[in-house]
Amino acid sequence: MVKIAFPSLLLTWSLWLGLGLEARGQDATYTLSGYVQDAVSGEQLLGATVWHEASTSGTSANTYGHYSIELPAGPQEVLFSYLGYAPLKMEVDMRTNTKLDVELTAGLELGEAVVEAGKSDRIEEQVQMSRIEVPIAQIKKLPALAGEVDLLKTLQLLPGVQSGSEGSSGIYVRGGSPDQNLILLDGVPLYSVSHLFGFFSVFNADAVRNISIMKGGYPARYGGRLSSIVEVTMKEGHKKEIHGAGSISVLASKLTLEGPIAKDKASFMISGRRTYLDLLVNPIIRASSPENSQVDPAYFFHDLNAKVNWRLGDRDRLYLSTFQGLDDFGVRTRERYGNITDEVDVGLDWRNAVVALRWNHEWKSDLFSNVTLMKSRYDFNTGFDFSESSTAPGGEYTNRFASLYTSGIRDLGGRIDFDYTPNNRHFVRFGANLTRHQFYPGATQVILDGGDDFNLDTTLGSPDLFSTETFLYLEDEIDLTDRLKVNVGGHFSTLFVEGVTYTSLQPRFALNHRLGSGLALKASYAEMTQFVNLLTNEGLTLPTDLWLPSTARIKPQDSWQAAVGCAKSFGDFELSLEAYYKKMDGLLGYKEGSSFGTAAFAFEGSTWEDEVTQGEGRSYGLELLLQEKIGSTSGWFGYTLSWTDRRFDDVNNGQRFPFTYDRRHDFSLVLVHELNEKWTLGTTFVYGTGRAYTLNEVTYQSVIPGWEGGLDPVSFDVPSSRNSFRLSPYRRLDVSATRTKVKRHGERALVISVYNALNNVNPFFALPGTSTEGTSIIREYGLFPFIPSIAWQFNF
Amino acid sequence: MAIQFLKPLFAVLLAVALVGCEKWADGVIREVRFPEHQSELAATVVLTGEESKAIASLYATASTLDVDGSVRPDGVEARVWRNGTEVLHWQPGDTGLVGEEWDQQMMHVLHLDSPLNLPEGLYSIEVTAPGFETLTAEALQPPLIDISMEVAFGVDTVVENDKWSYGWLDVRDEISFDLINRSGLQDVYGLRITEAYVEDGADTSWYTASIGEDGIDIDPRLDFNGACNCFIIDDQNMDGNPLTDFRIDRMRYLYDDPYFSEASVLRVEVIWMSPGLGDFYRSIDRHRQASDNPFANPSTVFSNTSTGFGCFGLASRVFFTFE
Repeated sequence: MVKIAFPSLLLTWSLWLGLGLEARGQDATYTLSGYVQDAVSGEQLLGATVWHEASTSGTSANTYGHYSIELPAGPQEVLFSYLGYAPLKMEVDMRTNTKLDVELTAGLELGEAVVEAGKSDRIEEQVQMSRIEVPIAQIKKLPALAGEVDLLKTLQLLPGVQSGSEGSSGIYVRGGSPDQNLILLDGVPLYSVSHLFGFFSVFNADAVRNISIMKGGYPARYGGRLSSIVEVTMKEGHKKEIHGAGSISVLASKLTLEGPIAKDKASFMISGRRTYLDLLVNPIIRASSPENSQVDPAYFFHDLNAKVNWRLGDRDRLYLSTFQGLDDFGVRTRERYGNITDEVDVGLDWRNAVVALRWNHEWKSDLFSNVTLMKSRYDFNTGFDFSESSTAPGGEYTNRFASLYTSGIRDLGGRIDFDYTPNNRHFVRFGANLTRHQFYPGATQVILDGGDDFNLDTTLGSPDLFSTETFLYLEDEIDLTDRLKVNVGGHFSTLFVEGVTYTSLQPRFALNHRLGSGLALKASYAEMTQFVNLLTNEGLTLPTDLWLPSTARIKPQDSWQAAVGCAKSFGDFELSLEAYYKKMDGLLGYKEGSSFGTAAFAFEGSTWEDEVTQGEGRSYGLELLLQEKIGSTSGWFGYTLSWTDRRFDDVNNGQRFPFTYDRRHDFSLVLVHELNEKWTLGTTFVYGTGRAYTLNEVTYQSVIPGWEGGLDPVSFDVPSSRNSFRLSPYRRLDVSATRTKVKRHGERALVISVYNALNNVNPFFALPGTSTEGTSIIREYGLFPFIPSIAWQFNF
Repeated sequence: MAIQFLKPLFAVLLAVALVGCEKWADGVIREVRFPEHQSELAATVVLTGEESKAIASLYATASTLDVDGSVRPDGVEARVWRNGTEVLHWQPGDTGLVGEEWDQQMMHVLHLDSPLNLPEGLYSIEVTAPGFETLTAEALQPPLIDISMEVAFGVDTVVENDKWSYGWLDVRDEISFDLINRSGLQDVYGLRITEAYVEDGADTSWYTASIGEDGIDIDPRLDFNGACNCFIIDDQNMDGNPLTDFRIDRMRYLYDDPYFSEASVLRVEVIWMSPGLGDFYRSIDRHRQASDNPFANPSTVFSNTSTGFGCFGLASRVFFTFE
């Protein structure tokens, strides 16, 4: 019904917008436009509020800090504000369309304790629902595992967002799986966002300016994933002076430098991070190895963020950003026995590389565009290589057996986005995107070199897959009345793959009705389509997970989600309560008994598509969030009550079963308290219902045909039902204390934190067994006990 | 917003952290109670055409940690019905050992007067035992198989020599046949290819022929299944999926020494299964595959019974023997 109504809605909107433009011509109004930026660093303040009290109308700066507001002719008073910054009231004489770049000063610089959000910045004013932003400064003060601040793990503490297995940085949003999160780094999608087998995310907090998550009510400009949009924006770099920051923790060290290339015109930011466990451990292992052997273990990850931006004039800005990340894990051993040398090399590595070039252009005071060209690649390699060489009078002989697996994705694409503000009642966005994907679903090179006797060098696996994904979108945020705002739009996407074309028209709608008491009632409806899939085993987010496209056999994933809620600010506190229902179709999963191994090593005549099945899922629940973003005490309290299930024809005898991360209750408390100028305390407490788990708890006798005729008895150990068992609840308390010293050239901080202060065993996996008393038990194995850590941070 | 009461709160948290230190010694393993298991009936009854015995595995489920394992409940019996008429009845005493000598289990066995050939139609089974909820299941008996099959022996022969100049012949035989795809119904077949061995001039044993990946041109419609020891062919409930023009290459290896040469008597067994039986066999393969792989997705064994354990399957069968 929604799809039939959509074209007629579009027609009505066009006529209405036309009438609005006509009305505009009758009154003398002009457009005020420009950028809002930080007075000290010159960084753009995305989402800053521009408010015209006389007409009780306002707007927000876009992702690039650009704003555009229509004002009546004559002298006008306009208020610019941004959370954490002192508001600035400007008087402008509107005789023509006017350009005005505004600089705001951070509250901290002014010595003010609290700077409140601007009027249209408040949660009850925003049409968008289900979106949460956490200030980076707050995240940096929270306790962290091994002292390494992790942005995605912070998002796991928000209502509606759940963590996967213990320690994992994967996020599960409103019953969705990790592949259903569109994680955008400066607008470019990232596929793998984990380091160290998922225990850390790839985002270096020192290089990031802003992070937000959207769990539903998606505006039309977003698409391609079912469950969330995580937007990460890198810092642009200080435009006036050279600055830097860094830290040394037990796990890794990092350094960030930023500064002007040409003062107020161009700046750069570069940030790097590397672990050093290998550098510390390798010499010890080498020293302790027997004389005839050499062991070289390797584990490290590093990442590099860099960004350069140029202001090419009043109307043009250019940004070039890149992210490179690598994890390398393995061990190489070499042993000598007389004239024989054995070498074994086992390992895996995965890497991300993203480059994006963006061009902002202000066509007119009310029309702004951004063009993005992007290239990204993700590679995963694993394998082993065994060789034995010997010397004999006749010469040197070598036997070798190797199995080398590789998979990956290459993306090349471009998108264009327009922001059009015809008047203060409409904020129109439209644009298009084209992305060419090249998937390597997995190829295994098998090498067998048996000298003269036997030789084999062959490649097994699925062929490369090419697909082209496009989308067009149009959305309008409309102030219908002073109390009623809506955002309506449509997202039309297509996928061309293997000679098949999939199309999808996805209506989007969001509504905000503000009541007299300041309470806002909100509602949203969004349909989404996803053309890429992550084949993953339940419970673990591993680099072995395979990214795969929809194909002629594998249909795209679809979802619709409806949500209702209310929001209100109480002083510095923001309160939101939301109920949602999400239905997902075309979900991709391994068939029972399949895994990365069976899909990756598909032999001739079969492909990974034979190992997967598609099904449906449901998720519904209630989320409560009370958040305070700034102040000497800040943080949030979140609670989620939810139900999530799955159904696949080929799984669990076709019966519906709980999703692995179906968590009835999820509770989090996050607090940061600045005791004084020197000391800041932080704590997080998390409680979640135990993970649904499949346990082979039933055995029974059966019979199958024998290999030599007749029947053979056989017994099966099976689960009574998929995910019918619950592991123990997840409980974790982390605490931290930060002592900051202000020095002549910046600040130094010592952070002491304790992860899992209660030393609770949070199950990573479980196995059935027998206790010492002989009773039947399940042993739950945790991963991280009480872990204290220390980190030293500095900035200048 | 300075909240003074947070100071004592953090002091409490610090104390809690110190308690955590003490608990560190406990390690990161927790033992919880294994879930209680309510025993239920598990019945696997596969009635295949041309069989002279009807075997029923009628057991009770047990917890995987139960040392006694799955046992036959006292007084368990089973009846197969068609249109309200009892077709077969295993009484508590109708038992016998099933399996090879090294792995036998007591099961319910009916010795039939004539080969089992059930007429096409819907059958139901009812398994009862004192103290247990009755197990029921239904299955559709496929029609009798009326197809023809041709074998062309020696359509191709390749002379092979190894590096010791020991020679043999690779002989290719071609088996061709069509299967029936009924409109609107799912048709699942099993195809088992065996060779005869006559031991000491006495009994004839039928062993699986050399039909591995090297010996057969794999047709994508053929899916080898280890549980039924046969190729499964499934129209996937689509009338458009042709089940015709099957051509299978079977390889024979002929040596100078007849002792090593493969048998020349070929038997092809075509089994037309109720769809649930195909699902049962396929799920067993996947379950076995998963049991050796810690990273595999959890798996279960397909069941069409009311308790969720076991399978009631029906099949008609025909043998083609070629010499």
